[in-house]
Amino acid sequence: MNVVLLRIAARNLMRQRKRTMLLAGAIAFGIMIVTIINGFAGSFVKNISDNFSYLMGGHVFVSGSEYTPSGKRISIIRDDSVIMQALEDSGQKWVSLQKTSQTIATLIFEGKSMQQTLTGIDLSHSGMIKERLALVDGNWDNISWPNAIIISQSIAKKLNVLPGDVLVAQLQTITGQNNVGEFRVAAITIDSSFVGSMMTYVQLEYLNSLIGLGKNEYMSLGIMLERLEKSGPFANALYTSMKGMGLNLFDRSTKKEDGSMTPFQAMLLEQKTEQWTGTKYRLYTIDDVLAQAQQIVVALDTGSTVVLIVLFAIVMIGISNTFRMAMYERIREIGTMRAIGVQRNEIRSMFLYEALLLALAGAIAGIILALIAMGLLTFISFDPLSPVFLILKRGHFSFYVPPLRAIGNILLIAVLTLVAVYAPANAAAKLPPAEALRTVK
Amino acid sequence: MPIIQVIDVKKDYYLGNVVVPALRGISFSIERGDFVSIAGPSGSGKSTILNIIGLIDVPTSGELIIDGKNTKGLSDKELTRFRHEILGFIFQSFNLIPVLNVYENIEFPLLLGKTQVPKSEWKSWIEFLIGEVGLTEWRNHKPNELSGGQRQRVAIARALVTKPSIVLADEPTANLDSTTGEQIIDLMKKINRELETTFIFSTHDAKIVNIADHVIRLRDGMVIENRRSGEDIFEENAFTASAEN
Ligand SMILES: Nc1ncnc2c1ncn2[C@@H]1O[C@H](COP(=O)(O)OP(=O)(O)O)[C@@H](O)[C@H]1O
Ligand SMILES: [Mg+2]
Repeated sequence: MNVVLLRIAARNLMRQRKRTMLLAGAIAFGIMIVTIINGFAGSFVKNISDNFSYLMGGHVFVSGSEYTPSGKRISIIRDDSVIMQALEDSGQKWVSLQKTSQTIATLIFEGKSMQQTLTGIDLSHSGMIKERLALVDGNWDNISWPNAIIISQSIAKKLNVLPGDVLVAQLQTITGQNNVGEFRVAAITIDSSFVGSMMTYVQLEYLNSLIGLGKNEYMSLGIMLERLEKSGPFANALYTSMKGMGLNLFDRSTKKEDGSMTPFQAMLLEQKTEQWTGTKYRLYTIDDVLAQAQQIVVALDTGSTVVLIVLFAIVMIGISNTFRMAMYERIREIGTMRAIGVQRNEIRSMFLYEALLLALAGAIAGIILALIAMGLLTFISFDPLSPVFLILKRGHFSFYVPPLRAIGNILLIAVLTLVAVYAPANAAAKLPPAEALRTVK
Repeated sequence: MPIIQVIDVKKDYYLGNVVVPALRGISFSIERGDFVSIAGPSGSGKSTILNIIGLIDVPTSGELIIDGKNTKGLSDKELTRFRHEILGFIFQSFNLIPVLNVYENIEFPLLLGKTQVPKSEWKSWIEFLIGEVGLTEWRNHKPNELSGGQRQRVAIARALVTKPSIVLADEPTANLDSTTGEQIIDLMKKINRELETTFIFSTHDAKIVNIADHVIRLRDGMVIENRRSGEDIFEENAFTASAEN
């Protein structure tokens, strides 16, 4: 690379300031749009996954499934010591474990009633509860009550209850018998998120006793990891480790190749159609559950790349024409340089440097503009009950531009620009010097 | 040995199907260190022969020997390197690089590859040339801030910076008023004496021709006069060519 030619290329850009601004502006605009789409797509899955991780109490899950003597299929982990051993043996790190049982119950208070899924966890020892939920009423101390229930503001309003009130819950045991329990409202949470407004938490031990599970039994084990991104490798290691302990597991890689089903859906289907004895375990991750969200992201990213290419096909025509014009404007300069001793390929490089600098300047400006735009968009705040809430981060847009995507976009622009400018650059290089020098503009 | 030998060079241009014979077979030699004028009216073939000697154009037939080296069949790359190493150019319309200032324009050829000037001497050599052409106070100015005469001085310094053996100047005074033109020719002559660089310049100005050691006069693509330091060295084939006409 010849530095003086690079310097001339840079100064030639500055020399045609208006033209440069226009082209760089067009590039910047395209990059901005695409970066915003990428940024949205990038955080889309992360937000959904984060929200769901809290909703479901983990990044990786193990649940047990077995048939009762009457042929009813139930979710149950009877003895988790083998799973715990498998966890240890997998050599992986996790942040916390959460044992969960769930059931649907009808909550009744003074003639008002509503159906709600009760999630039983160890309230007193769940770090997530205090971290994730904000209280409007009640007290964190109350959650140690054996029959504590944490409900959201909207449910409290519907049932017209206050902390300390006792609700009646009608539910069924796992074997199908009707049962009734009494829950005391310990805390009412702000509907600060989709997750918060949907969840009703109770003590695992009390819920188990109501649905007929033993003291050490539960339905599924949620494993919270340091980061969501680790769930794939973690699940693989745990799967191998559980298999190694001789546990009966559903195949994780089951896949319908036509794409009509996510692997997770296929696994559920397999679970429905198959028969087995004893407990068969299902191991899945948030990503498995949200594979469809992933597909949306892939669609968004593909779409944005198409947008990028279409936008740039147009911009590139402009750039190509501009450089052709520049070549004619500078024809005598080119002839002079050739006479003085600049080689053909150096003339070509000089034009390509100019194009590359233009593309990079435009792309960087575009990314900066996108960052500003995304920053402004995050100030918009959405209603918690709005349907887009699940894809938001605490009620605001959030963006995450994967660095590789940004770099990929810049490279794409650089390559497209070079392609667009190659023909005029080459024409400039091929000009016979005598002809170039004779030309009077 | 002459530094340049032009042997029966013909050059035809093609305008569609029409052949325009710009040089009809000319021959002459140029001695090292001479101050040579290619004279002749407009359209006589001055630019064409200078372009051929300058290796920026190739003859249709005939041979060109520079510094004992036959230039026939050299590739574009070799020609470019040859130009860079042993030739310097001065143009009628100055042809400076507009985005470079005076110093950078003069420095430019040095940055293009091997030259006779060691890197450690670049700066002082460029400063010397800037002084030589009287532009010390203008060294940081861009070409568009200079007068025509000043621009041509920059071009002269640029042509000399690689210490070429030959400097070619195609009508270097045509875009200047006559006083400035004479100053430019005087400057070229002075440098020719000081640095012993061979200068070949074309002009159609009779007054300027007289200053040359060697005058080659063209008309209609033929040499009609070839006179060196008063001695007529009119060559046989040139005569025949002109007689045919
Ligand atoms: N590229 C070209 N195409 C066609 N004819 C040309 C071209 N260049 C020069 N000529 C013709 O060749 C002749 C010599 O031109 P030139 O060398 O430029 O003369 P001068 O420099 O003495 O004015 C002229 O008749 C000119 O019209
Ligand atoms: Mg001419």
